[in-house]
Amino acid sequence: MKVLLVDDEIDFVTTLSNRLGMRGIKTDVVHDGQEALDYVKEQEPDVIVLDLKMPGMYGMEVLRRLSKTNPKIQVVILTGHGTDRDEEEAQRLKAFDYLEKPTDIDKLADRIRGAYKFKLEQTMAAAAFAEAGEFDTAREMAKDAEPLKTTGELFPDEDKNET
Amino acid sequence: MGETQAGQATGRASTVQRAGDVEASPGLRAAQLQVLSRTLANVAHDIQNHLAAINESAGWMGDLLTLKNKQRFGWISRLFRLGKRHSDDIRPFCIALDAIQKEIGQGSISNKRLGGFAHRLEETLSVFSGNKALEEIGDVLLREAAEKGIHLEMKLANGEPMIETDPPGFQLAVFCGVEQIMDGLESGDRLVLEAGVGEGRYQVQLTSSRPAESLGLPLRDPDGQDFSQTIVEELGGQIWKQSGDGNHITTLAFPLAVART
Repeated sequence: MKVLLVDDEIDFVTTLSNRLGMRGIKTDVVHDGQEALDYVKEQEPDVIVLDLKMPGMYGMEVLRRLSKTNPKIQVVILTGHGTDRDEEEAQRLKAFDYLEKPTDIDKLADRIRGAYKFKLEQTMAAAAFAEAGEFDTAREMAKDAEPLKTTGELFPDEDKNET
Repeated sequence: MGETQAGQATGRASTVQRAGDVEASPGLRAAQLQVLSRTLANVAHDIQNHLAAINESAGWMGDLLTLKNKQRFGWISRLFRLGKRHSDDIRPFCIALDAIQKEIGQGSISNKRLGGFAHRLEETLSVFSGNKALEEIGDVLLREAAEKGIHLEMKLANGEPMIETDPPGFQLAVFCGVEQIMDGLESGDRLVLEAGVGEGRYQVQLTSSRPAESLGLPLRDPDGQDFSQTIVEELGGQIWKQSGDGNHITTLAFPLAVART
């Protein structure tokens, strides 16, 4: 699993990367939106954890571009800036999940694994349709994959325990 | 020299006084509100980032302590049954880190509400969660009530009913309504704010332990009308009062959002 963290708060994202590493999730880190898009051109990650408010390019713009150019990449928004509108827009652009800082590290790790699992399932389902000769369906599945639904449905029990 | 200084001081004071007398135009007030909103939102965002960084650092320390403990004592503990002793060694640190993270969590909740409130100041007609909007002003109201010794209880609506109106107007109406009632209450009195859906509207009921007639001077607009009533009506809602069984209830009702497909 290849995970990219995008956040301009260097201390925060470095520590986050270390902690995810301790939980078996290896990550790369970049600090702004343009760097994230450049990274994606070079090596496509499976999951991106994306901050919204960053210098230069706003995280939502990164998500918008990725949804057009790399729709298979699953994006987990992690922001301290969230508004209702941002959350709605993130869902419209098919972000896998929307979390607010500070968040529990194990919850974030679970969401990242969930996003990766979802991506694999979509890829496998698309491959199965392709193998059956249903190329249009396969193409649609690969292109327009709809996340299972974000916060609260993938891990309902855990959310209930949060305070 | 002394006279000059006194003269300058007087001049400054009168300048300040004249500036204060200038009545701001609605446009200027709107611009001020916009600046205030953005400033507050940015400050809340910065604070949230700091809290998140502190939270991660505390968590990282906890991770390292646990890891070091496992590395140092893992197999030795199992062999000599020292598990309890070494976990006692790190327990005080874990307790301190838990306390830090708990405080960060609480601070974060208040700060998110501040950020939400700030963002709403710029919004006009929109669809939003009535509960969230009430939570954002709840902290201030609870604090004021506590200072006056009033027992203010907030009960939010079940589910997440969405309202369609002007968010800052909604918050101002409820805020003024609560303030009006609290003005007339005394230490030890009780006030319950209960939100829910009734008669196809989002209703905020304010139930107090004193009759409405003795609830102090209400905030009034220039026409002498109850201020919260003016706002509620401008927002397409209604406000009414009723009494019975020792309770005195003011209800503010707002239009619910039309279900979106």
